[in-house]
Amino acid sequence: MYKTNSALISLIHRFARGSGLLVAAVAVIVLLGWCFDVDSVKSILPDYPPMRVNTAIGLLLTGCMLYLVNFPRVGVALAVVVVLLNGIILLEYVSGINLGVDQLLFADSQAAKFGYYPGRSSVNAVMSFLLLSLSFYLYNRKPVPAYGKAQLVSLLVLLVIFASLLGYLYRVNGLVGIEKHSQMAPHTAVCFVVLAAGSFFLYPDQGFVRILTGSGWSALLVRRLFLAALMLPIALSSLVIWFFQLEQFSVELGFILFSVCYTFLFTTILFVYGREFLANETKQQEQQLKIEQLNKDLSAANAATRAVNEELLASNDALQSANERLYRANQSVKELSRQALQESAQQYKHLADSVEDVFYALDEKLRITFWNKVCEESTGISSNQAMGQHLFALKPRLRLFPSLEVLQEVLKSGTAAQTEIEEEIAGKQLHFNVRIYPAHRGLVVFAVDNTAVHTAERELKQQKERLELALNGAQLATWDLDVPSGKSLWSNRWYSMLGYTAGDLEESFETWKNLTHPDDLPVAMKSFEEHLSGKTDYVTFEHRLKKKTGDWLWTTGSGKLVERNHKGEPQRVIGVLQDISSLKNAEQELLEQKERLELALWAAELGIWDRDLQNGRLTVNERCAQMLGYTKAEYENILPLQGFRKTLHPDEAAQITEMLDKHLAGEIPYYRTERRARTKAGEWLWVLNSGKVVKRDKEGRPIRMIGIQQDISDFKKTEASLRFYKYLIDNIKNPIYWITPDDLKFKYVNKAACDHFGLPEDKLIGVGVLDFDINLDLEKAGSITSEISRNGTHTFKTVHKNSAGQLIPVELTLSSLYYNDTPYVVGYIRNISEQSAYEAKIRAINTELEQKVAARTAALEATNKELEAFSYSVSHDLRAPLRSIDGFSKAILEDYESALDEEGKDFLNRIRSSTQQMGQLIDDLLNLSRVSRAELKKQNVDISKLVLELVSELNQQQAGREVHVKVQPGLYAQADVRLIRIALENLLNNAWKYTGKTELARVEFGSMESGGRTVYFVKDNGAGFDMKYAARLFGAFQRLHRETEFEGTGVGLATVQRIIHKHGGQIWAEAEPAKGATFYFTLF
Amino acid sequence: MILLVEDNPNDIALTLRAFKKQQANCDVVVVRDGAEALDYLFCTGDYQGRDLDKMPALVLMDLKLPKIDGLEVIRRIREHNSTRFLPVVVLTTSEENTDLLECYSLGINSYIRKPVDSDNFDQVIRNLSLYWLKFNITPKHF
Repeated sequence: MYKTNSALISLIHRFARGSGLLVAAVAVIVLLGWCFDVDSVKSILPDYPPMRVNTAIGLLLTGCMLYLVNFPRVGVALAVVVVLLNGIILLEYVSGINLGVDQLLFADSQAAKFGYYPGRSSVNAVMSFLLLSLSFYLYNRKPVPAYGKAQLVSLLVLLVIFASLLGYLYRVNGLVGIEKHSQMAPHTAVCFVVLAAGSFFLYPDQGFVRILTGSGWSALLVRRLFLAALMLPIALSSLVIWFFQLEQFSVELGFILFSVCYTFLFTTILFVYGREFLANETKQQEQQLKIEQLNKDLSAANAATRAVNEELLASNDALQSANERLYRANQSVKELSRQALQESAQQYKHLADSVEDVFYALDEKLRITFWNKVCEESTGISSNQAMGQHLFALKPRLRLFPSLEVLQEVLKSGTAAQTEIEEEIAGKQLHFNVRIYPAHRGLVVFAVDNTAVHTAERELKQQKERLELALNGAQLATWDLDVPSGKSLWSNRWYSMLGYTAGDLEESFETWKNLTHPDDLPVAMKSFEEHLSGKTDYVTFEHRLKKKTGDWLWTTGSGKLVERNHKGEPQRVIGVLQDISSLKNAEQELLEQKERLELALWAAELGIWDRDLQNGRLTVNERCAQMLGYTKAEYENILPLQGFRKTLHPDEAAQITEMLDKHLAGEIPYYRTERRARTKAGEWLWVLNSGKVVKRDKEGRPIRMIGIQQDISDFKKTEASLRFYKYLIDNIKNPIYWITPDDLKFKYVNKAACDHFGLPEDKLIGVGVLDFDINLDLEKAGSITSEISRNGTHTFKTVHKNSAGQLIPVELTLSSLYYNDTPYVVGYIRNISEQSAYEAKIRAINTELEQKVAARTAALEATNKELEAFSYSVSHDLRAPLRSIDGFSKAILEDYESALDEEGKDFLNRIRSSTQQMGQLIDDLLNLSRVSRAELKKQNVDISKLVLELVSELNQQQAGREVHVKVQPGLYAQADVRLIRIALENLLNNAWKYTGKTELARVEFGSMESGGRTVYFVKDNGAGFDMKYAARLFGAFQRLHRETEFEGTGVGLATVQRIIHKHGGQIWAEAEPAKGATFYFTLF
Repeated sequence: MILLVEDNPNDIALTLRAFKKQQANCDVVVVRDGAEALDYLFCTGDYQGRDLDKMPALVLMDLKLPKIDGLEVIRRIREHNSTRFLPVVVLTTSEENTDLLECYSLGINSYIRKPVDSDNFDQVIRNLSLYWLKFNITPKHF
């Protein structure tokens, strides 16, 4: 980037425009001269031609044009007028015709004197006007102004008019104008020079003029050389011409003289300037670099130190104070370096202007040949006083002189040298850098005051050493981030911290992001953003970085923005990185321990208490108070130490108080009680309370005691119930044991088991159960075990042999049981030796009984047979006489009819009727007997069908009867078909019989559901009966009707009842005299 | 000819009276026990000289008989070739099922319980003589 000096440029621009105004002013004066005919104004001297009116007008317009260059419209109008006017004049010259513009305003009386066309501008002027207009046009060319070309055109005008001016200077007429007629007035020429220069320098920061106006070393050099190139020939040629006019000099000699002088002077200037520039440039570069570097380091160090300082504040007092010192020093150094920078900038500015540095020249004899203003000021010796004096003869305020030896050395060797001079003035140590250059027959000496830089350098060196010490001591790594590009610089420590070697990684922000743990990156980025946006003074964040090994390293990164660009955008951040892994690990461990502890406390529902024994103040956690029904505040307030003692249960108070006092006195290491504590509600709660004095004073008096309190009421309850169960099992009279199924060894035995096996518990535990069993071996035990695992339990009989060798028959019930995920087999032993005896006895009794039963059965069978025989004989032998009685009665009635009167016949008929009745009675009794003895053979019987058959039989038997019958169809029952037939026959017979005297006889068979059973019924609308006799209904030989009313033996319903009962059913009747009867029965 | 095997004299009298009342032209031979019945049928004992070819058209037999039981008599009748198809009607007071089963399994032709009512008894005799002597056909000698 080309550096420009905006202030200078603006100044030059204003001067350039001002030159236009100046020329316009001169032109106005000249025009006034013409107006009032003042010759001295028209021409400067009588010998010189006047400025023509047209020229003055042109200059006025062009001057205005230049001045109003920022108002292009006005400028263009002016330029058009100028071009028109001068175009006409040019036409006049070319065509030789007078167009009358020359003396339009004023008559030119002087033209004859100088021999030009009256009033007409010189050709030079016309051309210059046209060229300046062109230049104006080029400056304003659209769309892109042609600055360079405009400046060239202006330079051309300058050179042309320069020639005219030189012509006046050297009195060479030919140069004043192109020809005699166009002689230019000298003030016109000056005006043109000013105008052309103004036009040339109009935009000093554009085109090639900017080479001259730049602020760099090259621009300075060009400016100086430009001046030299411009002025030197003029001066020399003036001199030569003067010599020409003064003495007889040949032209050749003049040129030689000119060339030699020019070459010498120009070369000298070139070298002197060149050397100076070179030296200063080098030095400036070095210093600049050094300062920049120091500044960087300082800023880094500053930021780092601050970051470190914050980190280590608590723990590192020494470092803190060092840091503070460093910081202060750093501030002062910064200030100094800033001043130094300013000063050196000034210095170079002054150097550039060749005015503000100590600069003097000496001849070979060390006499002063040049003594600049700064020398005057710093030494207090004026240039006049100094000139020609021997350097060491001077008695300056400030000795800015190198030693004699150095000077002589330079003179002798012809090579430049430099030396440092330290001077003390007004108690202030000043430091100068003195450079001695060999010059033509002498020396040139520059002395630069670099006191500030020198001091700063020394301070910086010390600071840097201290800083490095601090950084190393703190094991800090440094980093340096270029914000726009993301490029970074990392120190060796940075690499070694992560296990890398310097240069292993691409040093960039991106690499850092990749190394950062993803969880920590957002925090770090936020810290960066906040800092870069100016919200925080420092970037500071904790983050994990991935080590080369892949592990994470906890680090603290801190930094500070140290550079912003002109737009205020952040450019550079520097900072430090600190390994905090040990800190972090400790922190993490502490955190985890705390979490574990909290979890443990929470899970165990532990109350925590903390008592200050000096003032008795108690601090507890919520749980501790809550346990006893208090709030935390309540609990803490109601229980001062003495109060606590009062809360103890009377049974335990003495013991606990004694234990507590012993512990407070240091006699026992812990205080631990299981005690009852009184709750807020006044109940007693079992708690475990234990604690320890954690702090004692010098005399051993307790100061602080902390402990826990735990609700153990559940535990106490469980404990009690456990004791109860153990007692229960131990005291069960049956032996019980537990074994493990894999080794079959006793794991538990109750007291009864001990007695059973004849060994105490401690002898039994661990012994195998097979040792006591005479029937079981391992193989059988295995099959039993698998049986247990299949069914969960197995019961079998075996014989145990106890330790005394006694055999005990037992019934063993084994069950599988899981306790705490361990399989066990529980054995439950029943001593069956007594039972065996009983069993034998019972068997004997049973045998006896069976024999008795067999005998009884045989007897019964015999009885049965007798009964059958009886039935048989009844059937045969009782009926036979009846038959005879009846038969012979009939025979008498038939054979002796004539011999018998009516009464005799009636008697015989009565005999016959009785015998028949007797026969029926015998049949019925036999039937009843047979039903009783019959074996029940149940089958599915279609009762509806059976009833219909019986009804049809009855209809046949008693053809004269008309009975309206209704039978519910589809009724089935499980019954003995033979017996149920007899029952139904009887019931239907009865129905027929008792409806015998009813006009519209109606008989119904059906069923209904009652109480979940099927109830069958036979209903008639016959004679019925009085329900008060119902109890007698089903008795044998019981009749409710007289024989004369309805025939019957009184055995039928008894038979029916017997059949129904045999089926497991019930029978009952409902009736009303003259309304009918209903017989209900159920079957099973 | 009808062979009546009956030991009760009352029953014999009443039966014979009933047959007489029928005015059926048939002889009724009465034997008083099982042995006599067999003697008659197989021409043994007291009946040694009887013509074997003259067999009764019907045997009316009580079951309760002196000497040889009625069932035994029936068995012998059915065992013997000459009497195998002889119509045998049991006329008894028993209606025990066991008796019925035994008799039918031995191959009787009918089983009639003696009614107590003498009117009924007369009717039975009338029907029997009508049926067995008039309508029923049995194979002749073989």
